[in-house]
Amino acid sequence: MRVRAASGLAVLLTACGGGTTPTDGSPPGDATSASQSKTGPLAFVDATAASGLAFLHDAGLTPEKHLPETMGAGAALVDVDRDGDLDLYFVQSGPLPFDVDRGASPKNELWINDGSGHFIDASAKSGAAAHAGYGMGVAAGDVNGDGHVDLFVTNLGPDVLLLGDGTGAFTDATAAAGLGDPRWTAGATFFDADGDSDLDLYVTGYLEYDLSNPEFCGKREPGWRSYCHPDLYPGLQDRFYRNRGDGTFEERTEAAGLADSLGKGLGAAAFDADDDGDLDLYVANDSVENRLWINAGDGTFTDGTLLSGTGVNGQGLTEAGMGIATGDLDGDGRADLYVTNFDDESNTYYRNDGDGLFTDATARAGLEAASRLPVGFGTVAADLDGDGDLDLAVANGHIIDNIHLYNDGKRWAQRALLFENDGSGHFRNATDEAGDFASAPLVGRGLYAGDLDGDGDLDLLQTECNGAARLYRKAGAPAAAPAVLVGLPPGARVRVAFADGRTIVREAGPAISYFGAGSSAVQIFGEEPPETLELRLPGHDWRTVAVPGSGRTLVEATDGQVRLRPQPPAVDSPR
Amino acid sequence: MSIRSLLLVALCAWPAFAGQTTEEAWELWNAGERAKALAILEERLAESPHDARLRTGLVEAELSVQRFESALVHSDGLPPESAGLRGRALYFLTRYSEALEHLGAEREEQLMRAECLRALARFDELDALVVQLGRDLGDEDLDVQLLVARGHLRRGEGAQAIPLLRRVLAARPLEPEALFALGRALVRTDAREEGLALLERHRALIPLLDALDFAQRGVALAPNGAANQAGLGDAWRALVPFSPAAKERASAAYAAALANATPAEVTPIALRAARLHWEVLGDPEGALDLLALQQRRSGDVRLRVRRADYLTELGRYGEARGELQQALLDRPGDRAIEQRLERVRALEEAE
Repeated sequence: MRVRAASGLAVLLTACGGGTTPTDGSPPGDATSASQSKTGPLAFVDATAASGLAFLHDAGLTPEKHLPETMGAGAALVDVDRDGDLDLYFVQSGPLPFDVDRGASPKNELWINDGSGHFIDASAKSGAAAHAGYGMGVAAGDVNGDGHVDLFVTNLGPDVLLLGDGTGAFTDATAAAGLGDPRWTAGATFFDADGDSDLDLYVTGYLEYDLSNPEFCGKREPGWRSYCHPDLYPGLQDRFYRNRGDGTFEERTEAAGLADSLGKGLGAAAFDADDDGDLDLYVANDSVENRLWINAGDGTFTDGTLLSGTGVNGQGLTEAGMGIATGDLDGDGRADLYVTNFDDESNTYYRNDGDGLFTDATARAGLEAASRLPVGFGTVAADLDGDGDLDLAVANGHIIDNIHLYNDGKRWAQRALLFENDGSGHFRNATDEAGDFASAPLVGRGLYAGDLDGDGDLDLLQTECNGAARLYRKAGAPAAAPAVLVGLPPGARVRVAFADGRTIVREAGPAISYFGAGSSAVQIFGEEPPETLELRLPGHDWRTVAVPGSGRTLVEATDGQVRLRPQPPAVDSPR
Repeated sequence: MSIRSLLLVALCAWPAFAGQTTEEAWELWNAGERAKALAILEERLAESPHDARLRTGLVEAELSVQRFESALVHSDGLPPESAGLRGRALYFLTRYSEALEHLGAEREEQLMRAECLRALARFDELDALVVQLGRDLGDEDLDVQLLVARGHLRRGEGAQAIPLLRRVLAARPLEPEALFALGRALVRTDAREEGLALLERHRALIPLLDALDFAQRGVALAPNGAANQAGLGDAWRALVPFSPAAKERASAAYAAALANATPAEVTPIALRAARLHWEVLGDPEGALDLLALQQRRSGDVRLRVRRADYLTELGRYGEARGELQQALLDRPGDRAIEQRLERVRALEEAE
């Protein structure tokens, strides 16, 4: 969330002035156009109202312009009641400065899916999941091995661990689990770092921020006060927690080799960067160098940033890392990285060249121009048009609500972006074909993909800073019903070979995007069923398994053994 | 050149206001009342829409304060010799395809053109432009060499890029792209250790360049602010281990800061400037002169005490004692000064 170009403005435009009232959202750049297609393979329809979803994020905007207000908050697409569909968990923020006793403050919300993409507010029955912190992000996973989804929420203030019981109710297990970091934390991800089949936890620390003494940035005239540059505040160290196997954790940051993680972390994603079978860590830091931590396989890490070239962009410059998407974008079987950044920077596509080396291939991939003006946050790498490759979608929105005063070419609310992959890692800006997804400017933050209405294709959920969450249903029907693998542990790899010689590699989620958790399912689209399918669980070797048919197949992985169980379609929730 | 450095070029561009009709605007601009200055210029332009000089000045002014949309509007009607300004506005609005139609032949605009083509992934045209730039600016031009090196790297021709990057880096030790790209290219050859060493150097350099970037923006937007100039001096001083030329830059920035400083601002800036002379420039007399001059200006006893410390280190105990005795007159009973005085007297006696 760096404010590179704007920051100077926020701090120094005291000598400047003027400005016009914005009349619409994003100004036209090479990225944007007003016309929107409502049909086509990449078109989405805003189904928020039809779905019953009505989550409204409250940033608690204040005249003091506290920096946390502009972060937005994340969401998780998780099946909390084990009925086979994706429910929605939203992190809420609220008034600032917040009171530790936040009885009257807005709470995080749980919305239960009835299987058809219709949602009911089940927050009242969600127990401790209706948590009232000043929330940032959420990570999802089964931390205690009971088969139920658990949640970890990062806050401006103590984090919380919420244990699910499989019915949509949660209990607060923070203290017992040894978590509850009181600092300003941001991104979090569950992954099996040490190959012992339980989920460890990595949490980014963001900034030291004193709510009682907010800095003044911007011009000292009514309406001109601005959010301050993150450079004004010291960064916080990230923390790594090892799961003891029972859902309790011990902090192992130093022992894991992660002591030198003092950044301003917003995103953390676990993926196999060096293709050695274990999960490495990538941390997107705000305005300082990003970090790639290479896992030795036992949950200890070495800094692979310099060698990999993923700390800065191809011009050797740090960027303001926000969201992360991982996946095989160019079809070579290796996991690539896509990182969203601030304005006057592009988002950055780090192509994985193998041997731990990456190349900034943003311009070559056709991804440069469109992302230079907006501020990117959430991002999704997913097969949105069902053609067998990973497309990219990005939620955009500035962090400075009055940025138009400081730069009349910029706006707080910005249109989303959508890029179609040609299968080789070259992208076409398909934003104008995205329908409602990119029709209106929003102060976009989180963006997550998952099949929310159970029709086989991927839908999108976007969170807005101080605005309504929006659900975008994929228009039309998928060309062919995909095979869907559910239940895979985070970072598990799936390799599928088709009769025509095509091979695709996918990693199981949840994809963290920005501050959240997308669906963990692996969707395999294709006109014809795959010939072979292989799985690789983190820390294990590839194994060939039976090719599943279309529809959902549950992958049960216990002690390295794998069993596939076809699942019936999602049923109406008992709730 | 990155978009950031090009943006800085825009910020640093000083509008070419001229003529009696804009004198008032020019005064307001210099006084920091830029919104009012722009409003006057807009009014004048509405009255005289065919005044090419006025239009050019307004567009330049708008570009310099990131009023790119306004600059674009007002650039309609620019005389041919200023048409590139429209291209600049379009460039900063990321309307690259349109910018290419308007950017002119000036060096910055040619580099913007190259950035447009790169952002649009129009690499064949970019390669042709780089060849043309080599002819226009000379193959030895460092920006041209960097662009040629980029092309090699894009095509996977690291070996061809390495000598070009070395040359750029030798001339521009603070060029982050050259340092990073060279390190990356070497890592992929058998010179892996050298490459990693360069990448470590790049890692150390980058936060300092970020700080410099921030400070330069400050000065660009409020050039008369002593605090901003001093901040720029600090940023340059931190870069001295990477570039000897940073010494002069730091010195010049501190001098500008002191020239613009109010009495209340003098002491902290003078202390930093003196430290630069003492620790970095190896110029103890310069440090002593500066402290003496600024002490007379501000009357701040801290500058006298610092001067005494330096004199003590130089073994000029008598002069140091004189400064401290004078300081005690200004601040009687100050224990820290008394202790220093006792120490200097002891050193004098020992001598």
